[in-house]
Amino acid sequence: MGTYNSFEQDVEVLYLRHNNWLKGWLQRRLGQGADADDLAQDTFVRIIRSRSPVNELKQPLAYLATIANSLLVNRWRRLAVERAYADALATQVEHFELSPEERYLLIETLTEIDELLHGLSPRIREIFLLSQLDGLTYKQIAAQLGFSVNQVQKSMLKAFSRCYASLFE
Amino acid sequence: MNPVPASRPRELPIPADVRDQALAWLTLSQSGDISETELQQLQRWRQSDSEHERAWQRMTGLPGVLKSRAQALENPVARSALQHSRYVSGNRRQALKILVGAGLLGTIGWQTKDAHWLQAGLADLSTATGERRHHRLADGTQLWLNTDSAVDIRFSINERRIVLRYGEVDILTASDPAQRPLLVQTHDAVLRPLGTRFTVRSDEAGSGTFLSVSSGRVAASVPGNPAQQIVEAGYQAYIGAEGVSRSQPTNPASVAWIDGFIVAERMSLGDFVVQLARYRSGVLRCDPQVADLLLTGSYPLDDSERIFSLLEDSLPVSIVRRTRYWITVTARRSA
Repeated sequence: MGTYNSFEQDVEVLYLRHNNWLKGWLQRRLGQGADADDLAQDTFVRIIRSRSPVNELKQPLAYLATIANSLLVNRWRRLAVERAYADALATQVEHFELSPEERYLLIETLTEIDELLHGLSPRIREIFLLSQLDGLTYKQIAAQLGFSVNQVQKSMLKAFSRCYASLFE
Repeated sequence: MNPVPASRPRELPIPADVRDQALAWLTLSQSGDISETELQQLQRWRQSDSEHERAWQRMTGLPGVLKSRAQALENPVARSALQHSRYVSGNRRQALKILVGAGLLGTIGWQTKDAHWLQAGLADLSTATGERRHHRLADGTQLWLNTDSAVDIRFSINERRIVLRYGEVDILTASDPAQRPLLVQTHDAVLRPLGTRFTVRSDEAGSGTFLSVSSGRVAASVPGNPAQQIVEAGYQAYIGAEGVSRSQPTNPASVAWIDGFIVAERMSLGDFVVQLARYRSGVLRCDPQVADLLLTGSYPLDDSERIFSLLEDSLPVSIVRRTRYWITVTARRSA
């Protein structure tokens, strides 16, 4: 029980010392007030959940900034996905909308997949989805999109490399 | 991101070269057209080393990661959104860099010739057959990539390293504000330019490296051997298993590709066709009967149809097209 308590105390110390700095740091990046407080909270929640010791941090500010930054990135990624979703919805001819809950879960999943495919161009994403979701062969994809089989193969390699790096590196 | 079935935290990392081989096998295995022979090769590869098998196990988890979320993408709006969502962070280059493992050069030579697609897929910059490209790097150095070529750019705080995986590149160096030395590495040579413009060609491991210096000087050496030989402007040298050859005067025609030409000066048709074939997909052959004919002129690389008609106009040859990708230059039959 000793270690459990001392971990919580360590986080508390970190919070008291650096929460204001972190809020300022986030505010500079977000440009508005309310979100910065939320993200600062989330940063500490993530530290508590990870249960990695924080009592011997050499550079506590850098540590906080790293975690906060990944939350920021996630937020921006989510916004980009939401925007793309709204754009895609706008081009639909038929009426098509989900309940707010369904939409929330869908955006959540899309954000996860987007992170997995991070940095890949729309073209590579399309090829990857045609292969992995629709089960088309590389030859069929090449014929459908007007590429060479070689280009399809290269795109698939890039996509798998990207997935691998997202998950393991 | 939720943890994936295949991922176990704190598992030992897979070495970069094994990872890249496993990624290549995974890509092949998902093609829908993998052959019986390739399946057997994959089997042998997995059994030849326990690290291979471990990497393979990890790879086989990848397709499932997407499939487990497939339901979300049944909705066409969601799918379109995913395709076009482009959150791009400043670290994007950095992220893609991870893909280029340090030990890749050479180890990927496991299927050298067929592996060009693989190497090009992993390289930072590459060109397809018939394509030529110009790039300006962050330090101001300029690269002209010739047809079917691939390079990696590995700039660190200590050095600027350019790795030519295969093909040909012309490099105009810029002086670095941070004073880092520039290095050009191929399968069989390490080149240290000293304020310079020069061309490097290296096709595959064991084929040797061709160096041609147009201005400044380049210190050429063999990996693992500190002995250097200086190649001056206007000279060229060949670097192979026997080390660095003696310098010889360059032929300006050898770098005419940068301006988009093949320049022939009393060149044999046979040699000319070999040159031209580098820029075209498919088979381009010259009938031995006409291979010794000589030709002179500048031929535009981007227009091989025009080259063919120029050949037919100036030499007693005809161009036989079996298919678009199988072309033979033969003696003209007199009518």
